[in-house]
Amino acid sequence: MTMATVRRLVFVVLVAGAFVAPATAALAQAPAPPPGIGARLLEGPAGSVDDPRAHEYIIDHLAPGSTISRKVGFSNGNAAPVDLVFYADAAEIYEGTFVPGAGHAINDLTSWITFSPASATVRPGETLPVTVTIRVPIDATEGERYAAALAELSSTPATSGGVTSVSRVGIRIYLSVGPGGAPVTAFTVNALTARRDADGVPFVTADVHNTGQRAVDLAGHLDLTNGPSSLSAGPFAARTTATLKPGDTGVVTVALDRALPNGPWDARITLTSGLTSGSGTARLTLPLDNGGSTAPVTVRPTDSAERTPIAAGVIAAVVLVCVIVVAYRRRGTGYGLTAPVG
Amino acid sequence: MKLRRITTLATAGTAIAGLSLLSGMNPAYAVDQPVTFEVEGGSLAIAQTPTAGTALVEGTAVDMPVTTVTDGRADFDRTGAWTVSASVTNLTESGGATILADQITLDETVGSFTAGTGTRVGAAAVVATGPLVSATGDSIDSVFTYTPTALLAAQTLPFSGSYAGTVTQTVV
Repeated sequence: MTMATVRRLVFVVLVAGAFVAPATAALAQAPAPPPGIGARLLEGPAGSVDDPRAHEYIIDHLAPGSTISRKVGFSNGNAAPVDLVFYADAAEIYEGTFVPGAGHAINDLTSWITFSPASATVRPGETLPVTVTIRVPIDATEGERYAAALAELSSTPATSGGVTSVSRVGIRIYLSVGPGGAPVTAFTVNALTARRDADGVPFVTADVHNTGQRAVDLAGHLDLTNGPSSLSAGPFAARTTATLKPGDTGVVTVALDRALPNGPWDARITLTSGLTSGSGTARLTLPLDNGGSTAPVTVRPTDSAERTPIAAGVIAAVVLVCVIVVAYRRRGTGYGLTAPVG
Repeated sequence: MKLRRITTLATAGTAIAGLSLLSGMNPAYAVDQPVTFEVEGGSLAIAQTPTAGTALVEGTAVDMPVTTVTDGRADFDRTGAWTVSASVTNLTESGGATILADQITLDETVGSFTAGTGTRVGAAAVVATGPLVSATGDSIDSVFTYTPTALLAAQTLPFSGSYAGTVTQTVV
């Protein structure tokens, strides 16, 4: 073996080590799974790395005929091995929540999903990577569909009658199907209402409306400014979120501090769903009485809650054209291509 | 001259890349997506105290196994609420008699965060199937604990025998 060969081998080992070491370290640092059975998304689409929802749920827009795979980790935090079954369950969105169906509910989306493996015995402390593959048929119709990628654990069946308890945990799937770019995600905040609960704690409810073509998971915060003696307060985080399918209306609740003066205040609400955010303002006065509320106040929008891929694309296209035009003009001026000859 | 061409081509290439990235477009034709990123963070988990079955009592809300939900997800802004939905099957007797699922009401004794803090949003009692409780933790690894209950409605017709069924709790 020549020195050159040795050098090459050392180089290969070093390069391989550079890749292997972080993976090993990450595995070693993986926290012990929480008690019971758990689920976590292990990977998301590279184009959605900045989208918080894509870190928790399988969210995508696919053309008919497409196939994607995502790894989901199902964990066992119990002291004994557990036998888990993996499957997709149809889900729906109503009253602001994402609800998987009872049993093995089916819809279009569940019939497109397969799991590998479909069942397994998971050891205590283990997180088992399971590949969830979605194959959208070529003749799939447009629209958004919902399901959950679940792991199911049954307790020991009752031998003498009674009710057996079953636990399921999983990852939500929001899948939009159609040609071209993703449909628009948009919502409006229509009104704010100041309220006090029975214990006197003030809170604000925001009436929201999904005006886009994809489901939203709305959360955010409220800022108060221009209060008595020019006071400001906040931000106060939204204490509840609203999951709304296209066309749905719902409520997001923001709890305030009991010590706040009643106002009036300029309230600015900012809500976000993934990469889409919007805000608006309204002048609010907190109610005096416990359990009371003021009349809803219409919100003046200050930021558009709309993410339109087409608009971003148009801007980029204009930039592209400008760059090419400028480049050609510079070339023409610099080399005298337009100068008459003779 | 070469440098300028390269610069122009590079700029155009960058703009085209930006075009597709900014627009977040999926192509109009079918395509697979091999490129993914690795998600950091922990799990959303559900645990129930082990039990060999819960006997229901006509007209009385019976405690089901204590349930805990742990949210260890590395949620950027803690926007990821979770919801536990519950469902119950028909109760069947070995002789073939059936008590329909809509005769059973599932509910949640008001639970609380036993680690970390957060906001609980209770739901209406569940008949047969529906959302039971939702919550948003303020911090990673928040733990919410509650006891589900099952109430078998008073039956108009007398029944006897040993009936069996399943209550399923699902957290997503």
